[in-house]
Amino acid sequence: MSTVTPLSWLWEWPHWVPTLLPGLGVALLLTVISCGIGYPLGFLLALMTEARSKPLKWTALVLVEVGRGIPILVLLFVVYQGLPSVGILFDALPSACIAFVWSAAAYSAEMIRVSIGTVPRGQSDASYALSMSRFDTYRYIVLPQAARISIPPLVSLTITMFHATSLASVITVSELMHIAYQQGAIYFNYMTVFTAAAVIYLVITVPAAIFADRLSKRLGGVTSVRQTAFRRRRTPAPIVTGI
Amino acid sequence: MSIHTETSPTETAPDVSNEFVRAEHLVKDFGQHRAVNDVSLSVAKGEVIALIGPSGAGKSTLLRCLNLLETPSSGSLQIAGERIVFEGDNLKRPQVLRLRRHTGMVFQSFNLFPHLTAAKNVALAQMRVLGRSKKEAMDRALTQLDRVGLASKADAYPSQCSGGQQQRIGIARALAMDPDLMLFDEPTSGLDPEVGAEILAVMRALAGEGTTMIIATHEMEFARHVSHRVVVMVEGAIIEEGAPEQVMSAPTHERTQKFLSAVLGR
Ligand SMILES: Nc1ncnc2c1ncn2[C@@H]1O[C@H](COP(=O)(O)OP(=O)(O)OP(=O)(O)O)[C@@H](O)[C@H]1O
Ligand SMILES: [Mg+2]
Repeated sequence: MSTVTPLSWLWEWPHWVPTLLPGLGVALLLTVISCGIGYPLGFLLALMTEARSKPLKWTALVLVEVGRGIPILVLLFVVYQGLPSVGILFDALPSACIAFVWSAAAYSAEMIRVSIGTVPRGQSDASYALSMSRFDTYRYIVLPQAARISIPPLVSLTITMFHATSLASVITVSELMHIAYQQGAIYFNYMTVFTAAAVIYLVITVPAAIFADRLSKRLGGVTSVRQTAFRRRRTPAPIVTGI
Repeated sequence: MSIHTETSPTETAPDVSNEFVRAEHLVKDFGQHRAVNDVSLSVAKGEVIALIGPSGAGKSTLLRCLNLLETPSSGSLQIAGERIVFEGDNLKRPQVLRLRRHTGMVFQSFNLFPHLTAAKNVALAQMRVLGRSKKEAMDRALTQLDRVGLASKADAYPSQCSGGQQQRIGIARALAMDPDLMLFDEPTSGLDPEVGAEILAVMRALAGEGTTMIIATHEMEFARHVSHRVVVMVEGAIIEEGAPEQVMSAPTHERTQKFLSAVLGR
């Protein structure tokens, strides 16, 4: 595009933004799919790990621990290049979706499980003492409180998953990093293109991180209010509304 | 509607032939530890029982066995004609729920639902368990809150209420289910003495209305003046029971004397 001087990337990177934008689209799509499908699955896995049926519990534990224990990069290679050798073949994008959904499900399952665990025993005791069923106790007492606790970490996880989509470039998914790398190789201006890519990532993640932080503070308020209820504080706590 | 009345329940002594709760040889083991040891207890309709004893005696565990929050290891329990014999893992959910439906429980740490307003705390189980409509449940919630003097807090969250208010909401929540037997587990021990007195006044009024109650408590004056019978528990077993005056002033068991002199400081 232009002659490469040591500092030209400083002002030339904006030219590459339009070229990279379709890649951002793919990255966002991957994030939405991995979290949109992964979190509900994670919720189910979290419930399954608490189940009394041993087979359910162990299936869930294995799925969660394998999903968390194996690096996403390895998961990607296994699905894209490992499974074909046992006769299961996926295109690059579906492979990436499978790996990311699994990963998002595994990590979110753990977060949701921990959140459910932090709801004090006295809450379910009180619910059962009112003759509420196990299902209603979960539905109306335990899960609403667990949800508030798990939302901030899930928002952080979403940002992490967005970052992780860049790994899909190694299995030829044409997301942001893949396009950036190709363009860099063609024009040999890696610094300029990668700067453009970095700026695009930042434009998404910085506001998201600020949002996550605010949300966590706000919900953290609810959490500490929840705890004060058990510490029997006598001064009125701040009014909490919404969410 | 207010229950801040000064009737002494002992004036209206319950008909003890009218047995309502009958626990026989209840045992509860936690692993190696026997928290409730061969407890037999019967309670008449309208009777107020004070359950006293040192910390760790098994008072909470016994109360939790009575509404099956804990499953007794053995023994039997009958409430309002429903009888369950405990042996191994024979307990069926519907049986548990039927028996539990007769009871209401008030906890030492209130255990209000922090994400629901006071009114919803009181209304939720009415809707989910008794199938009352939202409107009816909320109406009754307000009535119950009014009864404990907290109608003005209906829309407040538990965190916006003082400890004493939270405990009164806890009482209203249990009462809204129309229980035949109220179980109180040290309802005032988490509160300042003067706030505790408000709770005791509410309970005294309930006793005056003929509510059947079993109260684990360290409030000896309350036990003496409000209960019909004092039951002393030590190391999981009932070692002595009788009229408050008799147990408090002339305990027969040496362990009771030791306990009373410790709590009464004499
Ligand atoms: N879930 C449990 N698991 C194991 N042990 C328990 C459990 N609940 C109670 N225990 C034990 O059972 C015994 C009786 O406890 P419990 O809470 O019933 O006593 P308490 O009379 O209510 O005492 P306090 O006056 O301190 O409330 C204690 O030794 C306690 O450690
Ligand atoms: Mg106790």
